[in-house]
Amino acid sequence: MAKFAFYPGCAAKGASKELYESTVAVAEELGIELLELPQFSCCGAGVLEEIKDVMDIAVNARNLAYAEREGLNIVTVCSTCLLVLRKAKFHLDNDDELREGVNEILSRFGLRYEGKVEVKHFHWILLDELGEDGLRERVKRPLSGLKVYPYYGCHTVRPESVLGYEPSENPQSLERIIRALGAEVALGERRLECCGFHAFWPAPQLSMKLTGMNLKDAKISGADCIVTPCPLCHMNLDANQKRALKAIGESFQIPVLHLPQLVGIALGIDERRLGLQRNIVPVRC
Amino acid sequence: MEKREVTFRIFRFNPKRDEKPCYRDYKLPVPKGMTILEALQFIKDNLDPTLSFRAFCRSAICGSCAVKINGFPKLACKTQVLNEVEKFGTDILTVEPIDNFPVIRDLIVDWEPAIEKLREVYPYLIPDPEVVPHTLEEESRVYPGELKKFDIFTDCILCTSCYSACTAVKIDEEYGGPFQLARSYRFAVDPRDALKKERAKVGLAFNMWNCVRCEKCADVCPKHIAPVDGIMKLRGLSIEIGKRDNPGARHVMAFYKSLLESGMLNEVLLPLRTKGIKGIIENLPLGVMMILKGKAHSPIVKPIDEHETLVGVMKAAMEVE
Amino acid sequence: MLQYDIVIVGAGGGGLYAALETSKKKGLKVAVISKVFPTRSHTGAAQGGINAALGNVAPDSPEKHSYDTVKGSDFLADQDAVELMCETAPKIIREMEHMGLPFSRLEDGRIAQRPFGGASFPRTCYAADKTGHVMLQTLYEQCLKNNVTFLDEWFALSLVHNGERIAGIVAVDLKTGEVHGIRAKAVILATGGHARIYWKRTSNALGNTGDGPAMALRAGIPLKDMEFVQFHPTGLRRTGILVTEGARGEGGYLINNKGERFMKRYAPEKMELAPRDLVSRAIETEILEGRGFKDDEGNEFVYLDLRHLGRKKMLERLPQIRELAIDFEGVDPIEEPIPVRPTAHYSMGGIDTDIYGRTRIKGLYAVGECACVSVHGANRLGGNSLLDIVVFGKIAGEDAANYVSEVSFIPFEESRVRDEEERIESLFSGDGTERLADLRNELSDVMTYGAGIFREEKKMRETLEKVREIKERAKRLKIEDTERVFNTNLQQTLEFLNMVEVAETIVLGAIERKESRGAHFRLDYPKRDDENFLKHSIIEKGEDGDLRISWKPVKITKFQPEERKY
Repeated sequence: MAKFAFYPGCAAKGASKELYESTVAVAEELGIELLELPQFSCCGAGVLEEIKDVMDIAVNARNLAYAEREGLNIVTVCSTCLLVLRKAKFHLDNDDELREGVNEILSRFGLRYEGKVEVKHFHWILLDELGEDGLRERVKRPLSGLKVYPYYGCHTVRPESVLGYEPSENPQSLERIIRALGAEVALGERRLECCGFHAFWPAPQLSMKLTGMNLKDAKISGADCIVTPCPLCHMNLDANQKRALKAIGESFQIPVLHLPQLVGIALGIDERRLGLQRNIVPVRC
Repeated sequence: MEKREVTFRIFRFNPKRDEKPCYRDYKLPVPKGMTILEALQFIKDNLDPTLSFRAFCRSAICGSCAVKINGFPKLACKTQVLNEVEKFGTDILTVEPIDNFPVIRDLIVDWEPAIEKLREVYPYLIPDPEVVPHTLEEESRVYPGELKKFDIFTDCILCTSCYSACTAVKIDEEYGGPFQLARSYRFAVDPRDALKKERAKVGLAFNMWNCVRCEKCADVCPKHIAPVDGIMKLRGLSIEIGKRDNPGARHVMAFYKSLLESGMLNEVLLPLRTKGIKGIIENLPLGVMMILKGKAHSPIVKPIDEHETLVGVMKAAMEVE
Repeated sequence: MLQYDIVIVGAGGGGLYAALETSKKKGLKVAVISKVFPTRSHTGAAQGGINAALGNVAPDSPEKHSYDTVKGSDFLADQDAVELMCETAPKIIREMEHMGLPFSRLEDGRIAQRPFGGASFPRTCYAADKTGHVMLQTLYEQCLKNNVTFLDEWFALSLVHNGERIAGIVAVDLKTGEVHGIRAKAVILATGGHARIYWKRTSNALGNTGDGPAMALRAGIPLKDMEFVQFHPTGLRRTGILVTEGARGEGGYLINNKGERFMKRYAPEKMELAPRDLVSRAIETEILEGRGFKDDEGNEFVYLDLRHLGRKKMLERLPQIRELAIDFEGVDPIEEPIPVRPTAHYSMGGIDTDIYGRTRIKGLYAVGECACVSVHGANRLGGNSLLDIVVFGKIAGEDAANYVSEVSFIPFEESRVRDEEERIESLFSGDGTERLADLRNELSDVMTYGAGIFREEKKMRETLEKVREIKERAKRLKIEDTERVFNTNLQQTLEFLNMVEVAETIVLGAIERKESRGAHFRLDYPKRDDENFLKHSIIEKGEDGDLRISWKPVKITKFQPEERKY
């Protein structure tokens, strides 16, 4: 099976450790080898661009360079890390002058970015490495009867020019996985809408309102739970659920799962290994 | 040549006359190569002369014909019908006016709210007398590297697609809007401009920190501009000119500090660093819950391996012109 | 009634420059009316560039620029006007540069210049391949800065004058459908070109329908050199959408079905960079003589091959062209040659003006493509149209601003508003036995047949008759959309009626000009005839409604007519 340089990102290494746990557990179960490089730094979540764009790109060129040195492609479980790393790569690959400048900096530390490394999301490699059939074959506990709301959020799909795994206006990767696990897809209107996470600090009300609207849409769609490939969306949808619903004058509970948690349940992995007990809104299997 | 039957489900509304909008279906054979605009014109010429939409250049440079196809704003003239059919896996395409604007009639909207905001962001060069010559015998010097910083943002055709897709505009009426803020940035880094980085203050006045970075503006722009990039850079300029006493700027600096300290974000300290004691109090219930659930980590984050290379790269990058 | 000192009709480069110039004069009340939001204007579609003898790349002078322009015009341009334009060019380029226009730059920071068809030096200033776009945006920005009043999406219907002085215009506010009189001491027409007459094969925007010349004609104001319509050599096969001359300037090849760079037979020295009329005829000849290509839909074409430029140069210098080819033709020019054919592009003829943009009626000005000063004569050089609009927009704006401070308003008869209301009313009550789309296509077909790239007496006579017949049949058109709010059906009908009127003048001029010159090429008179036709044709509508043709001498200063060889 394939081997990847694992880039968990700060959320999975920090306050969303259940994402780290479930990713590692699922990868192990499926025989996907994840090598976490201890030199990987935080990607800066895009905000480094607000200090200086070249620094943002240089920091991530450094991350890319470490993976290249190992000869491995990067896989991440955070949508924003995915976007930031891919954006850096996009600029480096399309701007010779920039790449030369950044490589000059990297060379002072014995590093170099060649452009060989690819950056992928964990759920993309599930589909690429196993496919829907492969995944279906591994399911030990089909999620039949479960209605799941596929919440993409933003940074796994937009902008398509940088992400490009699937059409940003009609992605289907999450739906394909949900169905392969034996669950049903809940059809909603806000699966591609923003959760507002990145405006949480400057504009908490705006952020909470957006999250509230998304939660409500999931509820209306009749979903039993929401699944998301992004720990930041998860933070808003799960940890901040109560506050978000209050912002739109609603009150209910809907479990929100990290994508590897949902996959892990279907693969029959023990709940503790998936960190389900850490989700703020209780998840009952 | 092979043709495919496609149904166009078109939004029809005349606010002067109709109580509420309705959708009307028009079915037509679509050959390969037909654009949405050609389809609309076909309907107008052959099926329903009352269908109202704007169009002018037909070549994606005038910005007249932005409409919403299956929920996403795009220029009718540069959108191939069969590509949309394939993308959405349907023979029915919904065509609607773009969002965030009052509808004048059918697919025609009133751009005024967005243009009004454009007018307010000083969307023009205010010449720097030190740089722009006083006589018409000379040109100002703008080096290719300087031009490169803002060139892409001058591609904007004011089609307002980004404004119609913008998440922040939908929630915050005061928000400046993607193309407007991107134009502010365009002038802020034009060496000929007198206001220069001070233009970031305009961004502050128009809530630029409320951009949620949903990347929709970057995705829908028919000219491949990413207004969000301009907004983030404009935020950067505000930090540069010392406008750091706000949660947005402090959040940025918290990241910067974390990276220099350990290479990873210190999420536990983020509320304190971003909003001070207020941040702690506001997020206290959540914090307690996270501790109980075992989500919180130690406030001391172990540095990554070879952290010194990160610090070195960051410092070197900060020195690049 | 609305009242302004100056009303400018049209918000392209010419209209906006005039507006900027008038806004410099304090206390004037000026409005720009435009049937589209200002930055939608067709100036934005000009890709390649704007000429000025800056000499940034190679030594150059306004005199050389003038000579190239006069020679390109096949000696029909008025040389005093050309000299004025070429002398003003460097200054006005710098003026726009000072406004923030993002010109492409040389390594030393000065404005970059590139070679263009018919020019003896790299003289064309540019902003990648979006020169007109950034010019339009920059001028609009400056108008916002100077608080210019805009009446967006107002459509001008007629000119009101007393036979001597202008009194104002009548226009319809498209958003409400209401007809208004607008009183003004001066009116500047900047309504753009009319190549949309060739509906099915033109690079023009849907609205380039000759509204200005048609209004002028109806108001008894003469049009000049209408027979000259430039066909741009490289329109995309299906739509006629333009592939800029910049593509050839950057080194593109034109290739026939034998794989030859056929321009070697027509312009051995300049090759693909020969003037537009020559290249257009060359392509048409290749196609007529069986050396073109033909697709399934019956479109005939040749190839514009850019592959040898390489990916990097293409992405840097011609990004928009690449995208156009992909979006509208399904061809990536990095990998495949682009199928092209000449497309109706530019109207050299227009409202007869002097070098200040003045017309026969005092206070009425015309600038840019709707006007004929004339600086382009029988054939316009690439990079001179953007120059024309800004130079004469500026001059006319300045002249008008001075003029209105010296005169008072004259009476504007309210009945003129009612006349237009009635004209519109009648369009709703036709018998409806004719359809707009059909008539538009027919007009396009007959004009392409009889007044296209190759012309001859018999075909032109047939075409003239057909155009008159279409004009008659147009009376039976019925506007089926009865709403007043944003009635695009009404607008398109009014535009069509303008086109038919203007089409007739093109054919008439073409019949009467029994020679070949520039864009006007007659198979039955294949030579230029300076003895009989070194003069401008003037067409106007008499009291009886019939068109009358007369002639006006060409102003020659420095450059004596010589054979035009490239």
